[in-house]
Amino acid sequence: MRDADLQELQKDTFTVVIFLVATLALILFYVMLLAQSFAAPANQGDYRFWWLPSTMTAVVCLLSYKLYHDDHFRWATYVFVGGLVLIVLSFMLWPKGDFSTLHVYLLLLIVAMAGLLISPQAAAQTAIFAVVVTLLAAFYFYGFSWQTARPLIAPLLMTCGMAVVSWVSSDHLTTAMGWALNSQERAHQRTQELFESQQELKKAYQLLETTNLRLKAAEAAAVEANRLKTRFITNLSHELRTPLNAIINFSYILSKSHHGTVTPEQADYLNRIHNSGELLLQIVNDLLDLAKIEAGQMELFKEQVDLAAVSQSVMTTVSGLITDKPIELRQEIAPALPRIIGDETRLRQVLLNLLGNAAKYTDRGSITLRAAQSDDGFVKVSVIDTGIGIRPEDFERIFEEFQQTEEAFALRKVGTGLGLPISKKFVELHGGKLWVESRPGHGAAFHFTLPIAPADLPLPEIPPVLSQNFVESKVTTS
Amino acid sequence: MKTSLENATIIVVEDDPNSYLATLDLLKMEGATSVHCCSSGNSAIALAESLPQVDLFLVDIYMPGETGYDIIKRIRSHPQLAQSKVVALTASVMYDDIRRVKEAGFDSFIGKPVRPVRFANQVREILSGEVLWEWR
Repeated sequence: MRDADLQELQKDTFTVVIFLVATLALILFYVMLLAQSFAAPANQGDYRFWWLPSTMTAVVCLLSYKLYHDDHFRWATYVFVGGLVLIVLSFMLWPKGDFSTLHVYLLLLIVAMAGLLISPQAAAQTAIFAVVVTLLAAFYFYGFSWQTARPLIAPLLMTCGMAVVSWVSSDHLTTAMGWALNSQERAHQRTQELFESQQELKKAYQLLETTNLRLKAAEAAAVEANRLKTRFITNLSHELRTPLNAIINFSYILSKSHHGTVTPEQADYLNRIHNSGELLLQIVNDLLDLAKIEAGQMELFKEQVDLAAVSQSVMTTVSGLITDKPIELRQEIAPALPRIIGDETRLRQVLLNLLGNAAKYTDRGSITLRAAQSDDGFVKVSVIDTGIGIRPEDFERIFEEFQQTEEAFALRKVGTGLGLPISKKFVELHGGKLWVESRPGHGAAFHFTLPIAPADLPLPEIPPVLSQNFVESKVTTS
Repeated sequence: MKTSLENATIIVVEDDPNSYLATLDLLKMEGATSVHCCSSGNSAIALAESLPQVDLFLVDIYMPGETGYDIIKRIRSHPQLAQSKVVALTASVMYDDIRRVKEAGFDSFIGKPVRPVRFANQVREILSGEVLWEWR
């Protein structure tokens, strides 16, 4: 409970009471004036003195309001309460001489009012003041006798009783008022808080909406960027392949003397054009693969793959690359090799890359393709050669785009520098790993792993068109 | 009855001279005798109607005017030509393109650039009834 608030409330109530009493006094005054004018001439004297309490009340009210207004609240209360007591006593001036104690009961009201509006002490003070002044006035007007005092005893005792009641109940009253004030204060605070949190909520909602809009715009931009990228790749592929078609085919046709005999030198140059065209095509293919992998658009057509069969056909191709070198091609495929899950076209590409590299960098000895089940649910495939080998410090570099070791560069071997990075990514897309082991001068071994197909996975129904060479993919391009 | 490359009547529908010259030469080098080139669907259909039989159409996909997708529709709905084999011969080799070609009802797919060593054999295989989808 806050005293300041309580006092504020008391002051407010006080002003209201002042106005109430003043209004009542004025109304009473005019009513009596009216009654006097209508009364029989004999009784007119009865109303003669009504102007006095009414006027006194108005004066007391005005005076105490003035004091209150000038910030003398305490004095205002003294004047008001004291004034009212005197007004009540002014009824003793009633001309009839018929002393009535009825009006003395009004003192009760005044004491109660003082207790409520000011303080319990004020009620007590008012009571004492009222008792003393009443007795003095009564004795003055009606003579000092038991007869005079007797009818006053009851109202005056009640007045004192009222002071006591006021005193006793003031604690409860104060508590109750404090509680009421507190509640009001709390309610007000709650309302304020509610309003503030509502405002905050509104702001947060607006922020959310703005963010949402931005997010939507960003998403649309990303989708559009992806679409443009895909279209760019598609267009690039088409535009590069069309001239390559002419280069690769016309050089071949001419070199075969289809349009007149060519000299050996001319044939040599035409072959160089042709091979450059083939290399360029390979670069285009690899770059497109890389672009698709980077864009997350490389989707694998996963099916059960028989690695033994794929190895067989790849080895046939590789044997064509080493016809002029004393190299033994070995195939060590474990019997009953489990099928693996993968995209056969891409796996063929990986094997061709690794075996092609082996053929390129091996002059004599052997190239071995080994495949066996490992303990952890994978099939491990190894391509082992007896070629120039790779220094350990180059183990990482060879998997970066467009990189060649110094040794390979010195041999002037032609390559795109994309085969290994792409192979590694294809294997990783399959859920496997690809790594190298080598000692310079002692050959190199490239290993990769592929997850074994679960035994209960049914063989997919592959339409004949797809089983050929066609990679059916869920196309992600938008 | 198997159609050999030597006996086959082949129409190449191709707007790019480089491409149709190469295709023509590669087939003729390997013994083809009846290879015709048209630069549009209209002329190809007109030519096909004037021939007793067409065994194979090699159709480019992206051409100004009528595309390969339009042309295969006309061939497939043509009473005389419906039985001819139609192969897409195109430099558009992204998955989207290949899928669309397959859905359009082409018999086979050969991506450009054409691989000169393999090309004639590929055509022979298609003529003998095999289905090829090769684009690398």
